[in-house]
Amino acid sequence: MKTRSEQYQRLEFTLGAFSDLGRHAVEAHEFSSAARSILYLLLGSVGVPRGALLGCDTGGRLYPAAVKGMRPGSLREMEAAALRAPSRAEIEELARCPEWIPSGEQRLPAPLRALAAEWGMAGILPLVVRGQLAGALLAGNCLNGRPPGEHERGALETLGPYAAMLLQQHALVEQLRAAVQENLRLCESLADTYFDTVQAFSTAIDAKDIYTRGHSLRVARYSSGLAARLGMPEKSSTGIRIGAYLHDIGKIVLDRTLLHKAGTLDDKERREMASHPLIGDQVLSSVHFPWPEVRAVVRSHHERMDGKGYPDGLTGAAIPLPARILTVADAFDAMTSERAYREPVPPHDALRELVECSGEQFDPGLVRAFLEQCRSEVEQAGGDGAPRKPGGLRVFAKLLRRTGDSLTTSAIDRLLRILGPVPIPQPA
Amino acid sequence: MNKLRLESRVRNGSAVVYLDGYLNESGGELLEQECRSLLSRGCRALELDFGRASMVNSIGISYLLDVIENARQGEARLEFVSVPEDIRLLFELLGIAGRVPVRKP
Repeated sequence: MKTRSEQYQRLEFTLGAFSDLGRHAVEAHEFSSAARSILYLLLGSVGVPRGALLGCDTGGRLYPAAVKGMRPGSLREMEAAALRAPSRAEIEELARCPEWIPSGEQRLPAPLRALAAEWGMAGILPLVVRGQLAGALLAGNCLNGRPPGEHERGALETLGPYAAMLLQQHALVEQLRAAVQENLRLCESLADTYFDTVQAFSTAIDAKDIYTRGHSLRVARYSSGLAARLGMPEKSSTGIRIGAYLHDIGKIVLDRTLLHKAGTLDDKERREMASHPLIGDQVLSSVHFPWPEVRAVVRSHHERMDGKGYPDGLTGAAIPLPARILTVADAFDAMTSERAYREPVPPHDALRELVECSGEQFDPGLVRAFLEQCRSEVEQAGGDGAPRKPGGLRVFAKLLRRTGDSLTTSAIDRLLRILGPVPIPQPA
Repeated sequence: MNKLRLESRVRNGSAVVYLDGYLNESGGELLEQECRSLLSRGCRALELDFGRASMVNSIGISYLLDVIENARQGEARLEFVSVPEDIRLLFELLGIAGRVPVRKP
């Protein structure tokens, strides 16, 4: 009667362990934590205090995934020992026999036999899924100092296949996670390469004219800063930045003498110069950018709010917002940079010009946002234009460092009062 | 299943740890840490009171085996008291009762 009750109790406990394995299969764990739980569950189900769980990688090599009841550092020591790994043939042989193998038996591959002897293990249970080795359980003696008996071996062999499945499932998830992270890293690196290439291209565009060197990069900084201030989505802001890098791409086909001419342009020269947005748009028409802002910026960055711009003579809100943003940034940088025919205009005078031309040439709301951005950066800047607080300066940092104290918040406030309470455009 | 709660009382180098609830993975980890802490504070006699322990699973047993090993290494006396009948039978099946005195309620 007592034996029957014992058997019932053992069965109940093994079933409980089986049910716990199921719970671990549906819960998300890091691989190392899952391996530790599996090991504790298997050893606990038979009352064995010491053991180790070996995983099997895609190359068929065994490695220690978790240890229990061993001295500190034993996992690392075992990792070194695992270098003496069994051969593929031995691994395949193990996979054919998912049964408890006492550690002294000859059918155990020599490296595993040595490992078991070195760590005082009573035996090894290969963990097999669909004929493939997923890992192995190394178990020490029971509390009574004897190797696991018939009942214990039976319980381990019952739980083994499910533990193997769980081990393999967690290993696959881990591999998948690593692969996804590697892909993300590659994507980031590709995106960086892409931006670097476009930047290099913009440098090549600007290099055609000694006076516009760095112009596209600065315009990109002003434009994306303005887009961020308006709360535009990151994707749109990126499109505007790329558009800014490439906005003068049509100038590539223009004669260098025309770009360098110091005096006034005649009608023919003016027409030729005015053709660069259309040429740029044609050049980019075969490029499938994921940002619609790029072509809008390239084609329409010389449109004016009063309809007197080119190439399409658009008015007001019919001009795409990204192009209106770039127009403000482009004009500001053109004024504050040296030209063949003049010295750079001081930033305050350039801002005043933006205010005076707002409504006719520039979107007044964007001029306001541009002034506010500039004001907040001047406020944060020290006397030398450097930020008082780290990360305080963004868009105008270089300009303010170069021009120092020439721009003050009170001067910008006066310009804002002249401009009046115009609404700032809201991105769609 | 109710989460394991522990309460320890220390007196003259002896500690009684009262277990209340389910001794599973999280509970086992908690118990092992508590016993290790008591041993490191100089306790040389540990009594685990299972009077309010509802159940012990296989991972809980594993942690209990760690407690036994830590007590042995720390040369501390370990005893399980007020152990319910079903848990006591489990301790006997797994050979725990042969290593640690197990007392009924």
